[in-house]
Amino acid sequence: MVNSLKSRSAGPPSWIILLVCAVITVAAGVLRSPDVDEDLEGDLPEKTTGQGFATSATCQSCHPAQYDAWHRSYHRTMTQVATPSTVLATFDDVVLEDRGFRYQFVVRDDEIWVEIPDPLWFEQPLWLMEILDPSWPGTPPRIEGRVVMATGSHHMQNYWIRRPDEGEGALDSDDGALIQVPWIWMIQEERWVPNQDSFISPPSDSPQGPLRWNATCSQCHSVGTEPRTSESFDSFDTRTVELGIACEACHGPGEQHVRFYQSPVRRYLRHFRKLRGEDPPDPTIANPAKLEPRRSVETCAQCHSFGKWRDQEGFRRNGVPFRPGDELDEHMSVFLYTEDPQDPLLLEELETEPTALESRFWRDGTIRVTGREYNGLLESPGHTDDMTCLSCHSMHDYEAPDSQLDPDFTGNRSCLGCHTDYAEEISEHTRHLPESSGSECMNCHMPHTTYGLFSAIRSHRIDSPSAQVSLETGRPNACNLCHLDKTMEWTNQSLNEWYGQPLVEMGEDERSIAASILWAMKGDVAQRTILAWHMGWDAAREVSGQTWMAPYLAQLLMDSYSATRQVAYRSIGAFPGFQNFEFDFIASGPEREEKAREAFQRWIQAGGPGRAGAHLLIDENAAIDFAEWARLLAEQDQRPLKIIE
Amino acid sequence: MSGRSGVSQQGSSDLADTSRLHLRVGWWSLLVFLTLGLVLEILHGFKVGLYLDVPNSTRRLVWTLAHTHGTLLSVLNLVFAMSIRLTPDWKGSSRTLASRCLLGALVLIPLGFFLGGVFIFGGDPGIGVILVPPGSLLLFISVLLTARAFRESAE
Repeated sequence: MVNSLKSRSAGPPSWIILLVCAVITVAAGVLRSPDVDEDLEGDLPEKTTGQGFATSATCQSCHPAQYDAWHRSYHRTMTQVATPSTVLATFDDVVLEDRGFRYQFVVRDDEIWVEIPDPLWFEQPLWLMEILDPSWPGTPPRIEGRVVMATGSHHMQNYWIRRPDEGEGALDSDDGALIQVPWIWMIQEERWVPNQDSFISPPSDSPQGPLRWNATCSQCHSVGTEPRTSESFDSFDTRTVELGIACEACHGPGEQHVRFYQSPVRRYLRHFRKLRGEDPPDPTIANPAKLEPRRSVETCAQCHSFGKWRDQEGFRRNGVPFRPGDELDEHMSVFLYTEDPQDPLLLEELETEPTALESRFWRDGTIRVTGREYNGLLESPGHTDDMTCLSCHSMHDYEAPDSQLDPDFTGNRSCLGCHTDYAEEISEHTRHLPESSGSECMNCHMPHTTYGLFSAIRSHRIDSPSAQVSLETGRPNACNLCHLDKTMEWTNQSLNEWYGQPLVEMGEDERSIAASILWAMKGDVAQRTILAWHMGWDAAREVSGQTWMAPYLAQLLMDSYSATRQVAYRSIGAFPGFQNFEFDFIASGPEREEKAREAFQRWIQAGGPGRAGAHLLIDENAAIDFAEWARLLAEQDQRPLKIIE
Repeated sequence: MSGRSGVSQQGSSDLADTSRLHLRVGWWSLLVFLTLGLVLEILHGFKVGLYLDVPNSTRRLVWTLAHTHGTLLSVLNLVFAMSIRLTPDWKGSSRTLASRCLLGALVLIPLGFFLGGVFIFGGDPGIGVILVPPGSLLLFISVLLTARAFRESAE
């Protein structure tokens, strides 16, 4: 009995110990993020809330609906920590080869590792490096890195590693840079593709140099990132508020707002004002829906535009200087198309990338790379009026995450809300049946003349189709992008007859050959790719007949640009006889030619052209006018262009 | 003597009445709040967005609080009914106050949470939630008085 009492008084009762252990276990589980391990965190940009940011986790408690809408969006997943739940690609024992180099991916204990030739080796030509640095190796050393971040989750996903530490064979030891794994995962196709083949990029036999996340992608794919580049621009001590495009990218730093509304009295006073129909702008936070139209558009334009921060040094140190509500022009020079560039920042850009303007713009000044919609809007009549991005899009109440269109403004409703004159008798304006694709405002006024992500995307320059613009600048017009079997002269006559547009003197080809064929055969890479996409577009195939297009798509399967080949492949797959047609757009040249021949054969076997005529260079017997075909190909615009979204 | 006996009889009669009142209220309110729990489970079962969608997380929270607080306060009423029988010396006025406060808390707290979930302001419950703080105060007073009654009876 005595012993028993002694043993009891020697320490706390066992149930207390058990309770304490249980509390510690639960607390540890709650406090520790289950997905991110410490090694991984050490390789990621350091977390900061330095410039008055609060992070989306804080916003969630008061704005659950808005948080939920954002959480479902592709904005959120634009950059994520690489974990088994965020990585979409297959990494387990993958060995890939490209341009003579081997790339190996493995998964070890849920950690993704890649072994690749050091991308730094490809940054400068070998002959130059041999002169500059006699110790420069003749072949790239192989480096191993853990995948720490992933970008994208919709069409493609790419991955980032931290350079290895000194003494691990790399050309340069860990400089804080997060460099891109030079392969991307195509989500729809479930396959790996070299990064440089996923863009419209001039064909090259050599891999490209490294892309660094810290001072490039970070500015639009994260919030509040401070690149903190060294003075010599060769190392980074990057800090970030939040990966992905989160609340404060559009609303600005929220710390002050959070502090102000911690008081329930202030919150409820605001709720009651809203109930009374009063909803004035909140001085503690920016809300693009309540900013004046110009400032609202510029909130989106900080990323959706082609331009450069005026204070480059400040940007490399402290990150994006623009805050929602600011005047964008104070911080950024937005580049417009010009044949006589004077802007020093543009000249600097052209020094780095000489084809930056001709690649990204049609010659009439319309932007042709996706993700730069603000440039398109700037060229639209009426853009200085009340129209904003939120006139059609909604970030918190959208129909589908693809385009984030406001459900109240889908289809013609987005236009007819203001252009009420056309609402009642739309056919009188469109000259097309009211329910047809020709009576959809956007098909004529926002045609798919922008390129990105293996797709043609609607132009955000809102204007009217013009045969003259097409003839003089090469920008395909909406009429010929739907009526693929018609000549540009047909468009010229129709626009003159219906809308009184002045007739333009057309060349022989424009009078006698379908415009789509001219663009697909003679055009530059943007025209060819956009036409390849339209040949797979349901609306165009419905009005233009479809089977005659297959030989042209077969020709585009042999295009010198890999992205164009893939777009053509996606289009041809919908044609009769092509359902199980398989094509690898990054296969060798002879293999691609073989598949193109197979495509021709399939077309013949499927019954030939369907629709024929001299303007299509095909007769009723499926005989192709090869002389004309060859002539058009010989005249193809081969300028090396780079359309990087 | 008979007067004192009369008072005593009167006191024990009050005590019995109060106890019965809390038993009656406790069991019936327990039925109500368990039924509310059943309704919430049905909302779960049929995945009703009004209750489960992320934008309605505040409603889900406060209705769950209405259910749990209501159930616990119902049980507390039953416990109170038993407790007062163990403290026959508890002064009538103090006991009456504790009883009324507990009954008030039983009404105000769950009702406040429930009404707070009918119309919500994003992350904030609706104005009905304003009933919760006075309800909590009543609960505090009731528990304090009961605890004191037990301390005094122990002394």
